[in-house]
Amino acid sequence: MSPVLAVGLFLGVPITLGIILYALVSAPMWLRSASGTGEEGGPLLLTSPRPLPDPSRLPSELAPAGSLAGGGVSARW
Amino acid sequence: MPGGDPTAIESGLSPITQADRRSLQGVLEKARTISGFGFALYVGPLPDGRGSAIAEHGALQDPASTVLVAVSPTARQLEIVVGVNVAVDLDDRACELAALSMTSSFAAGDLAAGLREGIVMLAEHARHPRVLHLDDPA
Repeated sequence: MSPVLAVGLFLGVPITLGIILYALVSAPMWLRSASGTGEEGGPLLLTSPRPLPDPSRLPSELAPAGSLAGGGVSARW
Repeated sequence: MPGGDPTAIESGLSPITQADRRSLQGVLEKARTISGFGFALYVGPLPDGRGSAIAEHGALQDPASTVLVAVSPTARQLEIVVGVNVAVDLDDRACELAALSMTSSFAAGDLAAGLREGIVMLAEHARHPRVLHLDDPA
């Protein structure tokens, strides 16, 4: 084995392994930061699926289509 | 729709990440399963305060049976709008309790955690008593 090849093996293999390990350890962090910053910039609206029908209420007890808000609160911090 | 109020960082709150969005979506679905009512979350500017929140609530799919939690991190404002049909089971006192829990977390800088806790609390309060033979037909 030539000296150049020996030095290449003894240095090249550990360095390559180190780079691969660093990339594997850091990849989740890169992915997290990419997804966290890429979608900011506007209002966020999330909704659940449609309300379930309530069999314990008569249709006459339910609010007419025109009425919407029936309560709630405001708060500041 | 893009997610998160960009001014959340300015207000000292941690912005809503993609993971938070997934988690909050799960919480909204859980809240609907617990209570049977629809739940919605809005994070963004509320220029007219409660008026803007009521307008957002009115634009939802079934507003009379839906609870909207609206937060403006910039204005440090929280609005809970309860639909007419939900108001029978979820009174303003319960909303105040949930609002207090949420604003405590917001003040500590954790927007997503406050929302998660508050929405689950609202759903627990909105849960109507089970009716034999109606909720569990034989």
